[in-house]
Amino acid sequence: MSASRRDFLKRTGWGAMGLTAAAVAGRTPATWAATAPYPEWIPASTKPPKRGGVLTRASQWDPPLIDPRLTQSVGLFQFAGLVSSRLIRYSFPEEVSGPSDLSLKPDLAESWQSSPDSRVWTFKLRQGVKWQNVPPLNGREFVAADVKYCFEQYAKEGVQSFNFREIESMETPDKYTLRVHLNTPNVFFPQSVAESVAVIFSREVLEEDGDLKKRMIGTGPFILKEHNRKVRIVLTRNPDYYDKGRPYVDEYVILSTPDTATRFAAFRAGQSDFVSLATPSEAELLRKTNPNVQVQAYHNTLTPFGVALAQDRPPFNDVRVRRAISMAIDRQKQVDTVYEGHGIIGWGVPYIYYQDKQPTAKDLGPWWQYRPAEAKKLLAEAGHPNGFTTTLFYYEYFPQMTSQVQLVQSDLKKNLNIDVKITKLDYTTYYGRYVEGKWDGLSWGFQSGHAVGLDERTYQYMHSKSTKNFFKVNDPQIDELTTKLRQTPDRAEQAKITKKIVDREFDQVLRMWMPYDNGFLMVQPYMRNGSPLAIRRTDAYGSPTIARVWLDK
Amino acid sequence: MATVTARVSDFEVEPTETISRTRALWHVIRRKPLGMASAVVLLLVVLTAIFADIMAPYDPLATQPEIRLSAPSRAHPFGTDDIGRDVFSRVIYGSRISLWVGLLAVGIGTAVGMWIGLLCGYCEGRLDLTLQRVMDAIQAIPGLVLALAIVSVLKPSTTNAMLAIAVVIIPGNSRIVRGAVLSAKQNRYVEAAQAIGCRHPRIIMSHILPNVTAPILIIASIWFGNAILIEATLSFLGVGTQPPTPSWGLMLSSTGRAFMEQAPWLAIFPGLAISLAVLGFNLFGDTLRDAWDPRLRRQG
Repeated sequence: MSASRRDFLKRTGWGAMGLTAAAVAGRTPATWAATAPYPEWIPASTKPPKRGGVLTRASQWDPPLIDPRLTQSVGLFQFAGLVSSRLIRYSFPEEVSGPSDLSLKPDLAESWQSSPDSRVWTFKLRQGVKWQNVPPLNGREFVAADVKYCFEQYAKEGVQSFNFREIESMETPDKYTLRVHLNTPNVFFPQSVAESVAVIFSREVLEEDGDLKKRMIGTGPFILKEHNRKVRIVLTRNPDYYDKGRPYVDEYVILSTPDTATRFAAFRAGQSDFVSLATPSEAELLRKTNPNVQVQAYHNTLTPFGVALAQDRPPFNDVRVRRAISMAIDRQKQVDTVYEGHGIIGWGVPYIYYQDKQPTAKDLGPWWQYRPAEAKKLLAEAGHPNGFTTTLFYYEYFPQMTSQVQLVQSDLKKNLNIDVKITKLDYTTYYGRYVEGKWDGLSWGFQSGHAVGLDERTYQYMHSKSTKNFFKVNDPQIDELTTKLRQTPDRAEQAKITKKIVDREFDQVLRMWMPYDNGFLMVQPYMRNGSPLAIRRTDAYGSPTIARVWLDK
Repeated sequence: MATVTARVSDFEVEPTETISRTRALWHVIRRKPLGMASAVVLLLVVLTAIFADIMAPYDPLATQPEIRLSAPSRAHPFGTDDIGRDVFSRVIYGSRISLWVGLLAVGIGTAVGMWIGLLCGYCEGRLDLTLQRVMDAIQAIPGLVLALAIVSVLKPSTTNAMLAIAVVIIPGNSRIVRGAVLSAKQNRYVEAAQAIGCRHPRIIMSHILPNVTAPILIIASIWFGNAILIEATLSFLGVGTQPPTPSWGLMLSSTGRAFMEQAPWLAIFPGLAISLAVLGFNLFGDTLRDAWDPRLRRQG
């Protein structure tokens, strides 16, 4: 039987119409339930862990490259912390008192202490740790000289150079002791080396290859078995890992799945063991088909995204313009609609460092309230009564972001007659352009999601001289306060200075934070101990948690 | 003898009437329901694009987040999108982008392809050889990949998407025109024109071009549908029309894909619009071919 081209077109047309009618007719208006009563925290299992099994995750990210000196991309650090270890680490879910517990634990270093002026830090390394049994390391012993070499390389080039250039010198009095001398006092240095991006890589690979783009060999719980770009990453259990008995799973497979619908489908079908969601309605949809899954409705302590303005040049170097723009954006509406009420209004420094409760919109000050009339007046005072035209580029990290970008554009047009031309870019182009800083107008900017430490969130991201000052902050008061903060050992005093930094940031609208989801993590019923912690999502920069995950099958 | 006379009369060529292209087209449209349907669809798309301001019940850019992801209702026949914009209005305005892209891309692609084809077919020799090898090289790259590469090098925008589509169209058109020109060149009237010393431009413009317009128009109408599809694909891939401009492809990719499960209407209606427009143009291309095929253009 054969059909002509016309017959085919005709039948297809009728078929499409029929399907449309069926799909639309069966729908009722979208009335999603408010946030379902999901727990904020899933405590660690009390049962004895089981060994074995393969953990799989469909991931939205793909590493642009695997050299930890050259990128802080979550695509890399969703697994780099599993292959390589750090000197110190943040606590895992079964060790903490709650999601906001930021206490440090030994990793490659068993202990650490500073000189009274916080300029010299001494780390005593764990003995008997072996590099993974892969050529050219072949399981040789890990020693203090490895850390010295690695930190020197970080300081030489790459995105982390600013952090490591504060090291004046290093010495290794013996195989297991590293002494670091800093240029200036820094009470947060242990936090800096505990950041997920401060992984210790091997000298041999760098010396043989000239870079770290092809191979990753570390001392971590997993060995990188396969890295097939835009396809999958396979990590296999490291039998020589120093923490005997761990990790529990034999393999961790990360499938590159940029499409949200495909990730959800993979989770539904049991091909992915955990998935992150942004809104309650997404959680509800998955729960409909998979009622037995575990859901955690965690609360973010900060937002990583905001409107970055080229404030090094007009018109955004005028604080009145920044304040006017900030007041013209209805953030609460974004929280209520885009995030269905399960979101935060947006701030950049984790509030847990300066207050107990999550800030409210009021706490952010007058320039962060939605006041379009005042905004228009202020913009006119700044010399732009008729608005102006500008550009905004962004990368869609998740679908809700595109909604937000368009809402901001709509608010600015409606309230200030600012015409924003949007360009949506692919990840590599966006990341390169944004991080390089050679852009005008606006960008939907980010601060790297990896940073857990206070120094990273303040001095590293806000100091005018920092290579991570993506938002182009240039404020002498901020420079002074962030420098002072890293020299203050007292926790109460730290909180006070942090509050001053935050207040100054809000007053000058130095970084225009945008609402962000509070998020959900959905895990299969048999997965244990994968709960995300504050600023440490298991699927992202908090990936070292996977070493403690086990499958109750 | 009588038989012979009868045979001779049988072979006498009867006087035939050559009908105009418009009449031939109308004739086919009236006779074939698919032709009529495609014409109606085209008319609908064109009128929708022209009168979008009148037809659309809402501003396609006006956001109303309070009613986001509302299902089709009397107030919003195609529902609302992720920030509460009326999908019906956006689909209506989307026809402008599609038609505009189709017109410009196909216009540029056809014009450039036609001139290359005319030159190659008429001049032949080295020029033909060189240009056709360039066309071969372009054609060796899959159309969508070529368009993607061009837009990636330039910058994601509707204009650049149009240029990219035009480049994709050029080689195919040039080949068809070249073939038609080579055939038209064999006609006696062309030889006669050359013999009486007509200049080349005049021969091309007055004697060859009118005889190759039919295949050009037919292929252009089919390309029109393809151009809409490529624009939609480029926008779907994020390198075509940029938000918040209502483009069918962009609607399909940005909200349609992201909210497919929660709000299927966000994917269905722009998808249907694309299908309908492409189907319309393809069928209309077929109708044109039926009407303007030289074998069918003679009555009697």
